[in-house]
Formats: sequence, C-alpha cells, structure tokens
Amino acid sequence: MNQLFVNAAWEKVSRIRRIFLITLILITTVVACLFMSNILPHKGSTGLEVAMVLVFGALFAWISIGFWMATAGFVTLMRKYDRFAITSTCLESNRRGELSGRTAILIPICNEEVERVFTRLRITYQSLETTGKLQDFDFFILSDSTNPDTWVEEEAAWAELCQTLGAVNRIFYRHRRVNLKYKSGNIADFCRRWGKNYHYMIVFDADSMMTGHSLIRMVQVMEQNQTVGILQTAPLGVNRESAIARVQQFANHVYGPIFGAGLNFIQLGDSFFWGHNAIIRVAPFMKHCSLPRLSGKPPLGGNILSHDFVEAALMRRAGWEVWLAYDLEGSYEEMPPTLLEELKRDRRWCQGNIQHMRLLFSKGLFPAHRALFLHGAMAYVSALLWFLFLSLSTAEAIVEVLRVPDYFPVMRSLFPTWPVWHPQWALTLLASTGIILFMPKFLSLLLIIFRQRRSREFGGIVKLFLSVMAEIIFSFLFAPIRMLFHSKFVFITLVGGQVGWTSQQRSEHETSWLEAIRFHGPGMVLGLIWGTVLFFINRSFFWWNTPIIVPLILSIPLSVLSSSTSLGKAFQKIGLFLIPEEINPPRELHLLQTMTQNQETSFAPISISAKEGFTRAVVDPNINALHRSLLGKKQKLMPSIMKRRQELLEKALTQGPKTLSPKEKKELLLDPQCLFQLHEHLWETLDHTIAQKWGFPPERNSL
Amino acid sequence: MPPLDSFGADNPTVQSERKPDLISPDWQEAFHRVSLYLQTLNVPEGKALEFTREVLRLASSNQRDTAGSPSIPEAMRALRELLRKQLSLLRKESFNPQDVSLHENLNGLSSMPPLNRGFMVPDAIDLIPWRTFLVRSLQRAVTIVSRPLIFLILFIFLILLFVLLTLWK
Repeated sequence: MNQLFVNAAWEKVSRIRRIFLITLILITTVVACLFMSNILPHKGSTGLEVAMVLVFGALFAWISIGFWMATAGFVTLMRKYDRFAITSTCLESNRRGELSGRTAILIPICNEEVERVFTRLRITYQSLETTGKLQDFDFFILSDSTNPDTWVEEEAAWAELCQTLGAVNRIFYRHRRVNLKYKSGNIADFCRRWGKNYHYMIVFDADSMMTGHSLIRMVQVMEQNQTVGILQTAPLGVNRESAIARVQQFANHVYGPIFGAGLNFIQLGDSFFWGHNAIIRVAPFMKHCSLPRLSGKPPLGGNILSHDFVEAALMRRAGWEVWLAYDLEGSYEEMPPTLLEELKRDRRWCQGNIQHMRLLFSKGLFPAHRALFLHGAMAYVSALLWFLFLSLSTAEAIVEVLRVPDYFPVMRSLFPTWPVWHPQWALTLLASTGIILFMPKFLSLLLIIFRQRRSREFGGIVKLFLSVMAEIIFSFLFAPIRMLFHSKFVFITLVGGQVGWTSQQRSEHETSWLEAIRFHGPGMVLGLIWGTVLFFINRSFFWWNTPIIVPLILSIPLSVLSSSTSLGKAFQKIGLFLIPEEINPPRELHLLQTMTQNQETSFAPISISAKEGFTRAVVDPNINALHRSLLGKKQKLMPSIMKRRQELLEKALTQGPKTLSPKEKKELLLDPQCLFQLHEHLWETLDHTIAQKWGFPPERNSL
Repeated sequence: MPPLDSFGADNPTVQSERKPDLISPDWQEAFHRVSLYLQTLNVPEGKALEFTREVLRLASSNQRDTAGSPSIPEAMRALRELLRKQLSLLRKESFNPQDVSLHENLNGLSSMPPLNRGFMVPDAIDLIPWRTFLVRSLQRAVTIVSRPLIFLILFIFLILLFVLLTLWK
C-alpha cells in the first residue's frame, strides 16, 4: 500500500465505533430474543419456536442497526460539530482558488425520457456557468439506448442544446451500439476512451441534478484530500407530485440527515458509493475498479449488476478512501413516481445485492465493505425473513389451537403444567420493537424543531408533526406490501430467475386499476386466505396480525391511490409532506419546473412528434444529416446485409414507418447510405398516401 | 407562405419567364414540397420564396432536358443542387443559422472529443471466494493443529469432552 494511505486518523476511531455499534446491536438483540422466547407457549423449547426465535433475532438485529445508526447521527447533528465530516476539510481559503484538475460530468442513460434528461443537463450546465468555473468541466451523455426513436431524439436534443448554449466541445454525446455490462460498462467505456483527459468524474443518474456550487465543492474536497477515491453525496428527493413519491421525498428530507450522519459516524472512509451524484478520482478508478464477469450464469453469475458497491469495495481495497459528504447541499434526485415503479427498481437492486454474496469472502476486501455487501443483501433478505417469521408464527398459532394441551408432560408429577401466556410481555416486546423502528423518526423531528429550528421550511411545527404521523401510517400500510414483493424477488433470485435491464419510467404517471390487479392480485388473495384462516382458527392471533393482513388485502386500492398526483397535490395544498425545496425552491429547481412545463412535443412545420425519432431522422433534413454525420465513416458491408437493408428501405418507402419493427428501424439508422436514400426518395415521392404516413401534411390542391 | 400566384410578382424578369405549365397541379405540388423542405431548414419565409422560385426555374429547365420526368423529383433534385451551392450564402444572412448551418457543416461534425485511449483491466479478484475461503480456513486450521502444543491441548480437550458426554445423563 502506498505511503499516502498509511495511518489515517479516522481508521482507529472507526474501529472503536464499529465495535461499539456491534456490541449495542448484540445486546439489544439478545435481550429481545430472550423476551421473545419467554412469550412463546413453550418458552422456545420446540423446534418451531427455536426457528422463530432465530429468525426474530436476525430481524431484530437488522432493525437495531438502523436505530443505533440514527441515534449516532442524531448525537452528531445535535453537537453541530463533526470532526470527521469530509466537507469540513475544505477550508474557506481553499474554496476561492482555481481548480487544478479537469472534471467530466457523466450522464449514463438508457432509453430514458430525453427531454427530462436534457433539461436537467441544461440547468446543471447553466448553474455551473454562473460559478465562473465552467471551463474546468466537460459533460458527457453516454447513451446505451436501444430504442431507435430515443437514440435519434437524444442526438437531436444534444445538437439543439449545444447550439443554444454555445456548448460545442463542452457537451459531448456518445451512443454505444452494444451495451456491454450496462451502466458500469458504459462508464468503463468512457474511461478507456477519454478517462486520461480528466482528474475526476462526477456520475449522474438520468434523474440527477446538482447545483454548480455543489459540483465545485466536490472537486475542492477531492483536491484537498488526495487520498479520497470516491466522494458520495446524499441526494435529496425532489420534484414529485404523486402521493407515494411525495411521502418518500418528505421522509428523505426529514430522516435522511440523521441516517446520513449516522452512516458517516460508523463508516467514515469506508463508505458507500450509490452509483450517482458522486465524484470519482479517475486514475485509481481505471486502475482498480474494472469489474470482472462472475463465473456461472445469472442471476448469481455473469455481469455484476449493482456495480457501485463493488467499485467502492475495490477502490477501498486499493487503499483509496470512500467518503459520504452527508452535509453537502445541492444534490438532488427523483423518487419513483409509483409503488410499482419502486418495486421494479427494487427487483433489479435485489438481484444485484444478492449477487454480492458471492464476493463476500473475496481476498483483500475491507471488513467494512464485506459488511456493506451483507447489509445490501439484508435489505431484501430481511423481507423474506419477515415472511418466514410470519409463516412460522402462524403455524405455531394453528398448532397450538389444534393440539390437545398436555397438562402432565412429566410423568408422575403432582401438579399440572398450565399453558400460560403473558400478554404484557408481548406488549412490552411490541413496544420496544416500535421504539426501535420509530424512534429515529421522532429524533429527526426533535432535531429539526429544537436544534436546527427549520420547522418553517417544512410548513411549520404542526404541519411537520402531522406529516411525520401521516408518514408513519403510510409506512405501516406499505411495509407488508413491500415485504411480500421483496420476499418474492429474493426467492426468484435464489431459484435462478433473473431480471432484464429495462429503463425506469421516471415521469409522473398513475397506476391503472388493471395494472394494480395484475401485480397485487396474488398478494391480496394471500392476505384474504391468511386472514380468513386465522380469523376462524385463532381469533386473538388474527387481531395481532391485522396491521399486516389489512394492508395486504387493500394493496390494490393502496397502490392505485398512492400513485395519484391529485392526491399528492391535495396533500401539498393542505400542507402535508412539504419539503424546503417546495417552500423556497432553489434557482435550479425553479428553472426545472418552468422548463418542464414549457416543453414542445412536435416540431414545425411537419407534425412529427419529437418521440418519433426514426421518422424525424428520415424526414427532417437536419436530423437526417446530423444522424448520418454522427454515425461516422461508412463501413464496408457484406452483400447479404446490403441486400437486406435495401429490402428494408423498400419496405419503409412503400409501407411507411409504422410497419417497421424497432430492430428494422435500428438497422436502417445504422446505415448512413440507406438513410440518405430513404430521405431523398421520400421527399421525391409522388405517392401522397405514403408521404402522409411519414408525417407530411395532406396534399394542398389550391395554392 | 404566399400563394404561387404572387410568384415572381415583384420580379418582372421572372414574371416574363413564367411558363403556363409552371402552375399546373404537378408544379403546384412541387412548389409545396420545396417550400416545406425549406421550412424544415428554418429558412425565413421571404428567403424561402426566392429560393423556391429559383428551384422551380431550374427544375423546369432540367425537365425539358430529361424529357418530362415528374416535377416533384425534379424540383427536389434541383433544390439539393442549389442548396449545395448556396447554403454558405444563406448562412451569412441574419436569420437563426442553427438548422441550415447544421445541415451544411455536418461533414466532420463529431459529438465526441478525440480519443485518448487508456486501459481498464479488472484487478485480480477471486471469483469463487466461498470455496477459497473454506480451503484457506481448512489450511489454517491444519497448520494450527499440526503444532505439537496445540495438538496436545486439543487432544486433552477432546478427551474431556468425551468423558463429559459419556457421563451425561
């Protein structure tokens, strides 16, 4: 290991803090397990009860991590001083100086909504421009889009943006024809081509946005701390209108800071990398963070899906630090607009995180990163454990009712053994679980109201308090639904099922009833059967489980209603789930809102929607020329390919664009000669029906 | 776009050159097609009209040479020919040059900076770490147990354990 990395002060402190955290978690878990075994009818002596106590222990340990971490964060933020906050290393005097290294801002996209991506890019660019340090940054849109229409749309948007901002040679666009290794492959491709030109790269997601000041600050922190390999910010959720996303972004704003501070308290330089809104030192990243392909087939083999965790672990393995700048403002992202979108995203993350288990014992990784792998997997496996716990406890409840009690389990005993149940113990355990789960929320509330005095930014003390209460109800209602889906995801992954890599739908849209029935129907049926069985066999146990059974039965309406933007707006109107960015939006977010509202959907004078990229590439002379130019030099093709393309051209000319499949469109788009011929022939066509199919206005008979 | 009847109205030379077949439905369509093309290039209306006139004139003379090919393809070919010649002039006009300049200067336009190739090779990483871990642990255990003193302690411990288990009721 390089001398640069030896004896970092934080390493010793982090060891002590981690041992302390593990001790606290163990103590609380052991106590809770003892309580649990005492509550059970046979005091944890049967096989079923042992299994229940073990699963309960794993779950309790899992929730205790969050509790203790939040408590650590609360204490840190109450003190208002954190000697290990990475941002505090960047002194005021250093902030005024010039930046010595060049930075690339990477925006990897794959079939995203083009106008949203480019609007964010435009705002980030303009924000950076106002800082006067734009010359130190370049922007790269790295597209993996497979949809031919989106591909052309991106090119057109790029050209338009470059022209309007005067950003030619500042904003670059690259489209990969083969999206090898998905996002991580896309970034690696950038590194191989142009990485040597830059000291740092800041990775964005399609829904990321950062202010110019925060970008500059990140670079300054990296320049100040030469041992930092990755600096992750804690992005805040903004800009959402649907009910569930507003709840999520509110929770992110209120509880996020103490969890962020807590994470930093424990992890220090062994922190997370979440794959976006982070700055990376390019040279060590290129040297150490290339990802191998895991042996075997997906889901547990093949390409590493959740690459960010592994990249952080590899960076750390090479000695570079990974920090979380939890207090750096101006970093934003957007929450999934609906529950179903959130679950689709979780499906991918689940597979990726479980895949990390294969790397758990890789040589050279730091224990903290092994723990992060485990933590990532537990985020989903815990759902399956919860499901298992519920199944076991249901089995126990049913068995207890059906089995004839044995009052004399020991032969020749004088007195009977009465089955005794202590409801007060069960209530105590329930209350302590509640405290572990909900205390962080109240700590956050206390922090905002009494220490930071920021309640006005959330609409005032009363509205903030009511919003937290409503958020607790929301999380109560959605937890069983998420649990069921996550259990399913884990199960499918473990039995060898895998997910595709489709893009998220990030814009506001509501879940239809049909879609909700399709997704939540089985869960609702399960809830109904479970509830009915318990109701008739063990009524008291049924009442204990209603907080889980009822949301499962109501999952369909809950999913539909929570995706409603009108409900979200109604919440906003009455002052619930308000966030500081809504009450006093920063300039960048204000601009984003204005620009999103004023977007054009088609281009004059031919009424082709901007989304019909392929048609535009054929009809619009500018887009046609642009696309052909970006394709580069014409390649020599095999006669069979040329023949096939000529046939496609003929088909396009005689039947119109709608008859072409995405694959056929893509093939034509890949051939500049074909595309030019198509453009020429179309503009020369005498067949008005065909012309209209391509978006030409109807024939005008009079002049 | 003004009607074709006004075509060349402000230009006596053009008006005198206008042929009767130029306002036939065939040429009307050609006129619209050319106008549309220029509109998509964002050429301002006045300039586009001037251009269209020129294109149609060129096309009609070409049509005579090619013994009567349809007017739309002829007009479009003439337009392309003329665009090639005159786009540089158009660009110097005061209107927004965005589209036309884009159309003209695309040869050599690149959306990417010049390549500066680097390497990114995966560091050695154990792809079957579970097995390696087990093997490593076993090897370590064997190494430890093979030390005489540790072997003796373990042996005594095992005997004690055996005795305890035997006596256990």
